[in-house]
Amino acid sequence: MTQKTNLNEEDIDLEKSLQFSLSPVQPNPEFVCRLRGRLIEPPSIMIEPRKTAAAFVVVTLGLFVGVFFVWLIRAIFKNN
Amino acid sequence: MSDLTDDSVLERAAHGDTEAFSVLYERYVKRIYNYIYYRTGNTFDAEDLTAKVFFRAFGHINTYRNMGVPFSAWLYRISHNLVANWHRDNSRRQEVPLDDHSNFFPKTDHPEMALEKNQETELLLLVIRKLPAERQQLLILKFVEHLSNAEVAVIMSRSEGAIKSLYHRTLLSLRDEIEKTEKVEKVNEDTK
Repeated sequence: MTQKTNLNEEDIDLEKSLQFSLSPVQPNPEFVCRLRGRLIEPPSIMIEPRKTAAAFVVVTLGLFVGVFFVWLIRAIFKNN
Repeated sequence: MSDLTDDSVLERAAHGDTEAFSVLYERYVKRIYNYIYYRTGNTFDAEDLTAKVFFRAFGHINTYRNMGVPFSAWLYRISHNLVANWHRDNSRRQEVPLDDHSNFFPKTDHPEMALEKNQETELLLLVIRKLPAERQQLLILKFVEHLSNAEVAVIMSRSEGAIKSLYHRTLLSLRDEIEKTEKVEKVNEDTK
């Protein structure tokens, strides 16, 4: 029983130390203000949407031209 | 809008009202910062992670569903996860000591007493940061945020009884750890 009472007293002392040591801190007001601005204001950098259709046309055209040239060169050598 | 309850403001924020989110931000930014500050131990990472918490909350506010859990609990969970990731990423790096706490000590006419108290606080903070994450969280919520066991229970998704039990075990392990650290320090001083 005495041990339990001592334990409780020690707990109370430790709680007092915790109350003293774990005091709330104030964030830098400039940081708080700046973060609010970043959250709420729209971003100034705009990401350009991907031009998928244009990329598809360019790749297809490139492949077509490549195949055409191969066919052309083969046809020339065949005739020779 | 600042007079409105969290639920009303949340509903507006979920529908894309940035002013409503701003109100929630003002209400919780200091609490979240404090929580992260005591978990990371330095201002730089506390600011960085606080920003990440609110960006994540802002990005997912439309998916937030009020299931009887307060908005603060949701923010604390995001913070807890981000701090856990931070600790995992920095596990190989040496621990950073807490910033100077001298600003929080009451001004006294006895500098020796103040110094002694300062050392005591530093030791306690060092020992707290050795505890498992959930015990650190419990101490911060109770002593920094001054939340009741019931409120802590909601945030940590446990029963009030479980929180009381965890708190008791935390005090015991904290005291053991303090004794161990003091013994080690005494041995170090004697060998010098």
